[in-house]
Amino acid sequence: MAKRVLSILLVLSLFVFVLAGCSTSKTTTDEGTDSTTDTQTDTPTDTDDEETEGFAFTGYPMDAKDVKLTWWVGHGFTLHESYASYEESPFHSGLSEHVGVDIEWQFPTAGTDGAQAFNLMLASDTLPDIFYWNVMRDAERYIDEGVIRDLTEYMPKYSPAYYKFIQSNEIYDKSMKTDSGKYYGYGFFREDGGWNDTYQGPVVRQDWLDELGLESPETISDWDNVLRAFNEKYGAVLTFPWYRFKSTGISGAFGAYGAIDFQLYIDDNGKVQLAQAQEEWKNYMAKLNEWWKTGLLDQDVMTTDDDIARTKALNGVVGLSYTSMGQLTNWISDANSAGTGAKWVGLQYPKGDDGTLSMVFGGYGIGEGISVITTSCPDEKLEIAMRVLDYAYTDEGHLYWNFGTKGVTWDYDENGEVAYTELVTEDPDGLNNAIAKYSGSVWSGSCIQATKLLYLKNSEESIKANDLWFYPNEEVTAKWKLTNGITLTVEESNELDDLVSAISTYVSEKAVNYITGEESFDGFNDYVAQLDKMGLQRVLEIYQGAYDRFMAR
Amino acid sequence: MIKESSITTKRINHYSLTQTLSRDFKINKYKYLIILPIIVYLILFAYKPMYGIIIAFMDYRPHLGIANSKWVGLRHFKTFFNDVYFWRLLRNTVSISGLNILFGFPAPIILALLLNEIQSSWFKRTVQTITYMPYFISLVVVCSLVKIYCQSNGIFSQIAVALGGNAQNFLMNTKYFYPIYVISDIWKNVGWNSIIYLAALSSIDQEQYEAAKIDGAGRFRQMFHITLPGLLPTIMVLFILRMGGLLNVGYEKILLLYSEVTYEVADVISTYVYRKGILNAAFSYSTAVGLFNSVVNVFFLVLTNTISKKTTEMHLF
Amino acid sequence: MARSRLKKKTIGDIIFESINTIIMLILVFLTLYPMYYVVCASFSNNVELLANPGVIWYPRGFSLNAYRLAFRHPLVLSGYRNILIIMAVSLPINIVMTLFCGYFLASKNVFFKKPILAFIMFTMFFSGGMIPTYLNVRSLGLYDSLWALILPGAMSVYNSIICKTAIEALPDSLAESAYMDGANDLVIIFRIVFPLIMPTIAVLLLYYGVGHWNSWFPASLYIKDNYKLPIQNIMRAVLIANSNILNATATTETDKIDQFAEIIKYAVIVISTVPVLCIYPFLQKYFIKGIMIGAIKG
Repeated sequence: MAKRVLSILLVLSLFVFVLAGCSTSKTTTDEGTDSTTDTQTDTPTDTDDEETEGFAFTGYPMDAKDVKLTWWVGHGFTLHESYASYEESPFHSGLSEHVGVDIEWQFPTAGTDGAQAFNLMLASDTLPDIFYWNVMRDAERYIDEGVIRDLTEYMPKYSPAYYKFIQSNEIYDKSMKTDSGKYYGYGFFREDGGWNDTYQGPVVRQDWLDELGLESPETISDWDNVLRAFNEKYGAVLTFPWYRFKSTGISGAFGAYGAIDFQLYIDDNGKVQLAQAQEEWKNYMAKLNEWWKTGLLDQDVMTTDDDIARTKALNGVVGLSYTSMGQLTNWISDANSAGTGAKWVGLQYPKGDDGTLSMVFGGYGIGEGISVITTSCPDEKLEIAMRVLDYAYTDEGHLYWNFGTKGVTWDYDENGEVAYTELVTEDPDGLNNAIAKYSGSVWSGSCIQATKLLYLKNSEESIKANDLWFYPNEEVTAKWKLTNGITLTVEESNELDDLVSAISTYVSEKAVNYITGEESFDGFNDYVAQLDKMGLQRVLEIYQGAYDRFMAR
Repeated sequence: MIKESSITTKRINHYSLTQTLSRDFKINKYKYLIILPIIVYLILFAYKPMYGIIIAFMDYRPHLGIANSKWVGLRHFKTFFNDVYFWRLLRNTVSISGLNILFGFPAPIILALLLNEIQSSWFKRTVQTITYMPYFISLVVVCSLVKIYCQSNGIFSQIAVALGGNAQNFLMNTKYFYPIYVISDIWKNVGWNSIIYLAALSSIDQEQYEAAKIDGAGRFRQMFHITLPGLLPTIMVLFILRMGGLLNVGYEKILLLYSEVTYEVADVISTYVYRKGILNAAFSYSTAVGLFNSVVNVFFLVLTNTISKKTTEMHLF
Repeated sequence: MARSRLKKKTIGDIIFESINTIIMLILVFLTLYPMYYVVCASFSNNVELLANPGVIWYPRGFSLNAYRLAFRHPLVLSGYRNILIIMAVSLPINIVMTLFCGYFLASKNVFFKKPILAFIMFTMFFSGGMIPTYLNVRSLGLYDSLWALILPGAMSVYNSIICKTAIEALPDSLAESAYMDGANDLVIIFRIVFPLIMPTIAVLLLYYGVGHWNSWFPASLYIKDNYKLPIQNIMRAVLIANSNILNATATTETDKIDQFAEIIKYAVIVISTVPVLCIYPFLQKYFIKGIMIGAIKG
């Protein structure tokens, strides 16, 4: 008995020991990190003190090679796939040269999800000086929590080019500040406004249409016919890169506003709504389910990405699809070099049989990503960091971010237009890859994407396709969209975190189950009721408020 | 082994506590010395993170740190119990784990029994060598093979069509997720896991078989009356350990195989913790869910151990 | 298991044995075919294979492109190097700690054994969870270092129980006579216990080795430099996340026509798996012996 009591005591004392161990090791590590950050900030201060006093901006490259900035990028201008580290990447190492600052780039590792990398970075509270991620909605909270810096007072002084640029257009200015008027970051803009925000849409094998004597499909019924004809004649199915289709796909034809991913939109009365709670969306899913059941929709579509879709296109197992300008360029060049005779062309977004077209994938030409300066960036480095970010919006920097170094990757041709040198056009990895190696604006970045870049990068046919997707539908490409620039208050942002993640998983899970037929449409009302139970009304209310505030800015 | 002095429990009582302790430390000082690094290791890598569990009771904001984040008590647990997915996660976790135990646990025992019956020693060795092989193939590779074979134009579809079924992507069908999971697990591990039973078989007294033969017992009866009882201690210990991990489904594998289509059957507590905690940044909430998982695990372990102690007298502690 | 049997086989025995042999042959086929498939696929022509990836018995078309491309990428080589470093550093640590732990737990008449056993066993079933563990590794300063993949798994409690069982099976007299000769526990562990349980050690080596070989998740959390990723994570990027990191290494005009992303997968599987399968038959005899002796008895 005594022994028993004793061992209990011992276990307890061990626990005390453990806890003591924790707290001591905690303090030591804390001290450890403190001292390192101190030294880190101290050393530059010493050199900087002279420098900041002496540092007068005289143009790029700045004479600040001894200043080191860390810059984390979660998507958009991450490392090109043929490089394993930033030192090898011409765009990233080149930017350091051009701005004259030593930039240490950080990216999610190969195969790692950007969101995972971002959240882990936040969780451990070891921030880089600058990061590029989708933080616009939660900007107020991040400023409040002391994660990112409020740059309002420095903006005109240290980032004149950027400041001037966003002042040039009301919607840019509105989008780049919070409700309380704070500037905090450097966004992504498309020079063309909204044209390239509609960078994806339907495509079709024109040669097959011709062979079968079919017209270009315009309505969903036409799609039915074409799909059936292609399937009978060529054994082809409808397939597409799933992640491209997931956001909205061809929902416009059904009067719906979203496909698989949780999608909010603004209805005709200016009210924020959830696409997946509408009757129209149900009809859309029902159609996809019908195609799935009859085998017209590829059974592997949910695991299909750009590469797989491309191989399928090359192998002639797909005749009607949904993809992007860039991918269409690849498909065309694959068909040409393999001599399959396939003739891929862009196709107008389908309408409902009654002519319905509620929306088309698109936007205002402002991206979701934004480069922000964190609180880890000390005051001494602030100006330099802001100058680095400002570079992209200067005339010279704009060219670098889009095309690379003048005289190396490009030069002006006789008409004064940008033309790539042989370094790019003759790149063994092909033009598309080559452009991506030297440019920071192909997908997104804290810069202005030049329309010229898209013309150089894509085939003529792809440009024509995009014209077809965008121009006839210009009215419905952006107005339904809850703009990227809205900001939530600190409380709203905290509250939404829990609500939205639960609802969005629920929605996309139900969506795929509706398509595969796992879930019956009879239960649609229960599903909507469940959404309400999960707090959908509160989510809409919060977003409505944010949207109204945005409009009032 | 390693018996140094002959202090027995009875004799301890004759000494005072301090005497006992000092004597113990003197005699066993090297033993305590070698266990020290292990204790330090466990404190650093097992117990110290347990201290971090307190964020389950907070609204943890990384930038504020543990010291400054708000306490919220049991809020996250309440949220989890009321979560739409609570029952589904529990059901899936127990199902996957249960099925894996139900089929995956006996499989190596059966293999061992069958291998044991092979007469030709080279054939036996060849079968062994081959069946152990998949154990050395990385999990990532096994899962990617599963994905390839499950495509709608892959091997399984071809076989299904040949048997009069439909071509389909089997990973996109909730009905097939469990079979795929369990079978691929057996494929990878059955050979390797059978080694331990083969080993235990070798220690069974051969005379028992001879005696059984003389009594006219056939191969099957020998298997059931001698071989299986001989394996029972090994089986029970492994079983208790396995039950303790009932709620520990290997999420590394599920993460590689599941998708939104199969969340209904494949989403388990640990994958949910990953998605919530790391993809949605709900650090406190996911820690609360993980804590719940651990507590249930300990419960199952103790339960199985107790039952086993009562019924078979085999136990871990 | 050469069991001496009475010479005569009954009909029942013969039927039983034939069925058993057939089952074993089927098992062998089911085990080998997937591997054979991968090898065939990796030598196939990309377009032909993707048109029909079902049952194959020989390479469809023949091409070495997949290997040419897979070997060219620096991450494949650095991945290999990293997993080798991880193994080389981890395994000795794993074994020494497991041996110490097993020895301690197997010893008798140690006053604090029970509480320490409880202290150790507790960690087997109860852990801090994903986020606290992550924060812990970061606070220990192991982030973006291979140590983050080595130290947190320095010892498995499960394995130390196996080790304990093996040590318990040794006769008590061994240690007793060593004590008489004035040896201390450290000497006994390395001079007497270690050689005697060598086969169990071989098994533990394999358990740990395979554990390192299977694990990809920690590296996806703790490593930020691509060059520090072990090969499994490179494989995952290529095989599962469909990141075409290897794709862009195509260099000739014909490479551009074909999309190699799919077929490279097979080559990567072969490249990453073959070395292990080559080493393993040599180790086999050790671990079989090892498990024979170390079989858990509880």
